[in-house]
Amino acid sequence: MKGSHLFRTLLILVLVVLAVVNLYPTYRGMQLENNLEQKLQQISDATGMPVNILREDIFRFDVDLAYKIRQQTDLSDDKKAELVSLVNELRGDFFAEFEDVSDGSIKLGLDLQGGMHLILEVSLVDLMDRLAKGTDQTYEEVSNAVRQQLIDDPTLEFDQVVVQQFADRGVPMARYFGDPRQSDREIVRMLGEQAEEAVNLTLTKLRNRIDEFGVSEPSITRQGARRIVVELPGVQDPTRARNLIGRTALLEFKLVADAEVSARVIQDIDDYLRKHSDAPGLMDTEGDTSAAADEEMAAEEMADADADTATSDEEQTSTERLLGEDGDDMAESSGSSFDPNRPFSSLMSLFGRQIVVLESDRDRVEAILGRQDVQNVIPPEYEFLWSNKENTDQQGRAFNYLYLLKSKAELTGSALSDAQVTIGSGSADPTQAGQAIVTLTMKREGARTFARVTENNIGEQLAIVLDDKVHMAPNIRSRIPDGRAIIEGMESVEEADDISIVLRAGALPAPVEIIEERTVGPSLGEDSIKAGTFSAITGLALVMIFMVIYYRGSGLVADLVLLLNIIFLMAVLAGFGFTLTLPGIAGIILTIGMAVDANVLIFERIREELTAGKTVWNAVKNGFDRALITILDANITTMIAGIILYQFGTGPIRGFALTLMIGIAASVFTALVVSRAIFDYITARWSVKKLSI
Amino acid sequence: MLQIFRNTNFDFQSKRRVAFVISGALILIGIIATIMRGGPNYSIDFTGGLQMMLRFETPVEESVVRTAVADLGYTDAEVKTITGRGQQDVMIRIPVLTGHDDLSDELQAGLQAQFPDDPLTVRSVETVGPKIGHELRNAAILAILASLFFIVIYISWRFRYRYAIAALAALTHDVLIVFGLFSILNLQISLAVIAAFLTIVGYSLNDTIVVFDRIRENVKKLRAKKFFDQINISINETLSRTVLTSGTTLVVVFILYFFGGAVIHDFAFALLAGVIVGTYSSIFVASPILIEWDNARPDKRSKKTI
Repeated sequence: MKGSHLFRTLLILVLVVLAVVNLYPTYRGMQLENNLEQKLQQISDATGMPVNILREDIFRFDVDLAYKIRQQTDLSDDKKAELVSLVNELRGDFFAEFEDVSDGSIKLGLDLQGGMHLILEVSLVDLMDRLAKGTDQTYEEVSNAVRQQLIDDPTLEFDQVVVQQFADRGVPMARYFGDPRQSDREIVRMLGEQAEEAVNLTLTKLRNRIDEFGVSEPSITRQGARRIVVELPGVQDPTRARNLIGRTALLEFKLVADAEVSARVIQDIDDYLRKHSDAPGLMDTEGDTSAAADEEMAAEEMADADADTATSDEEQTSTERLLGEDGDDMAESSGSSFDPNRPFSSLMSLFGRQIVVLESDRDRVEAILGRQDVQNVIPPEYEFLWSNKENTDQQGRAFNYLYLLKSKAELTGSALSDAQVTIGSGSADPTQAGQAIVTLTMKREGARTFARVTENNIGEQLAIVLDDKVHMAPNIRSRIPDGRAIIEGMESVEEADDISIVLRAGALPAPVEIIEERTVGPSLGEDSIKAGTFSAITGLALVMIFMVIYYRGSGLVADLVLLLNIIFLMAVLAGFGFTLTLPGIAGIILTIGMAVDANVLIFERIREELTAGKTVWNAVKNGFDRALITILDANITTMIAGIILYQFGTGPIRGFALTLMIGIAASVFTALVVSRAIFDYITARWSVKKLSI
Repeated sequence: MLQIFRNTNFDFQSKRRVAFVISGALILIGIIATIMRGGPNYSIDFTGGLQMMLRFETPVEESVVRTAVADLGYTDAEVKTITGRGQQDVMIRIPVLTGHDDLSDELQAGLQAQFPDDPLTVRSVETVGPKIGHELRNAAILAILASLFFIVIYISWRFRYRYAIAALAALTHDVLIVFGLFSILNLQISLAVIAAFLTIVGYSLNDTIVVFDRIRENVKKLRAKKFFDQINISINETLSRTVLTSGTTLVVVFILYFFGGAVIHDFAFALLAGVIVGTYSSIFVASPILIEWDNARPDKRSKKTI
């Protein structure tokens, strides 16, 4: 008896010490964070730099804050020196301790600290398209049908759909993949393996991209066979992050089709549409007249607008004023008003090889080009692609360029060795002065190919295509021997930065789709923490007051045990590196309400025993013993619900299940062991005659 | 000694038929409401789509935002404002549009353009693809079924099979009523609400087990009494505890509901309703089922071995 009491007391003491040790970093971290905020506020007040930017930059040692401070003109030298020393102080010992402490602190979930949670999925259809060899019309039909079917019914599995579609057409998959003797089933399995490999490779590439993007403590993990979960705490610009992660970054150099080819293909589409005007999806000709008239007026504008986007470089080329060369053709093809005999070409203006489509007509053109039967009219060695962004003509109308390109890339991004951002000097083209440019450097082999391509195609246009969007299509003036090229026409330095990052990290092996995104802004996270803390403290206070009122002295014991319960809960979170989410806080709050249950059960039993006339010692003993079974049964069932919740839940929900489970375990332990110890101690030491309960 | 109930002797079980009618009616109303609105009101977590919370520096009226969003071409959008502590957030929900990675950007830019003098900040964005939504729905159903299954196993082992079924009936009753309440009030069933349902399952069970535990004890102790009385006595004996624990839990859930913020508002509401119904069902659903069962097929073993 004595021995087991000693053991119990020691166990409690050890656990309490452990809990305090585990919670100290969290406590210290909060102090440091407050301290940091004050100092950043000081810097912000003096320099006018926003606090949230400072918070982001203060521990990024590649950001030269001292330089930024010294650049401030309206500050005295003394003040500058003071602020610089403040920055150095923060980046010195303070930073060391801060880092140290934050390792052991309770980690906050993205919903509390703000940030971005993405689930990416490797697109199997795209991967299949990429792996297929010797594709033909049948293959395209299958590919499109599979794509459509998967969109229409998200419950379908890729494997089954694809096998079915090939089987329906009586084509063995081996015609396009792998070994001719392989069965469809084997090929599908091979595709699955390839997809897994693609996921692994994608994981590495994404890590590289995100590392360069400069997010602190990102988490990039694999989920299941073909998904990747990316968590980016504290991201300030979700749009940028999304673009950086979601884009495939497949860079291709493709030749633009000859003017005659363009004209012929467009003509063919016109002819086809005219013959099949009853085909589904063909636009109603009635409403088109005005659009065509617009087109006509726009035609003249395009020439000027075009000049703004035409680009050049000292050793490369600018997009020549095509109007000058091919102006006559253009006038002929776009100058007339809408003609129902030309259902396709009347939606666009043709400037030699350059095709201009008004934004208002873009959807229609896309609809036509999206049709499988129309695709069959276009020779397989050519494809239509859009420019990467829209332009505006002098009347303020938005328009896009449409290009007919050779499908086969002359060179791809894998030939690159580097990509860097520079700011254009404007020496060759004044419109590019001050604009961000991405300079590409190719590997030796790539440079050789590039030299050959440029040599053989002087006078042609070479389109630089990133993820199926044409960024520019300069004319080749001469052979380019040194493997250097540039991409212009970025909207901002950030965009150029991001493009250079993704090009350096390399293209993803297969396009990924963002299938889930949850982004919480820092302000909402802060509000949630405040609301959660307030609710927890208020709830705790009310419950504690209530217990003292109802159970008096014993209520104090229950309160002490409740506090200990919360401390244990937090310590387990900190010690095991679990993440606290907003639902997690809700779990803690619920625990506060439910944790007293074990003590209530015990106290009610003790009261019953006392009413029955038992001595205090006996009443306490019986009370605990009899409540034991009830407490265990009641809590184990709740635990079962918690475990299942944890298994099924994602992110925040798991946080809830976690705190709920830890809370249950802690409340059972504190009630049965700690409460018991306190009662035993009181009844044994003072041999009380009357229990305050 | 401060006591809420002192030696109470309420005859709860005589009113069990009334309770059955009330419970049945509540469940029925919920089901009818669900059917009338064409099925459960799933959030984008399960249907797929976009949910965006934003805040205008100067609050804009709900209807004005709604028109603005509709003007941007999102005619199927659902717009709701949430006001709390002097601040107003706007919640916009749009059913999924596939192939639109940057829908949230478009929406933000489009809205800002319509209110150029009123800077808006995006507080949160959630986009869920239809495929994920479907998976989450399956996972949620599976989770609830799995938890019910394991709970039945556990109670059958610790008590008897009929106790497990009675507990199961009680918590199904609780979840159905809260579920119906969501349909009636047109609240959305999100992942968090499913989590709340599972918590209700846990809570309701906790409460039921405490009563059952006492019944098990009294069946042995009070052999002379009828099963009906044994149950009534058990409930009366545990009444203080039932009210106390429900009370403290309700207090914290109330606080969570009122001060926990917009993000967990529905979650807290589900818990609030669940705690109330869960307490009621231990007394008026789970225990009466034991009586009805015993009336129909007396459990000979229960007197001795339970």
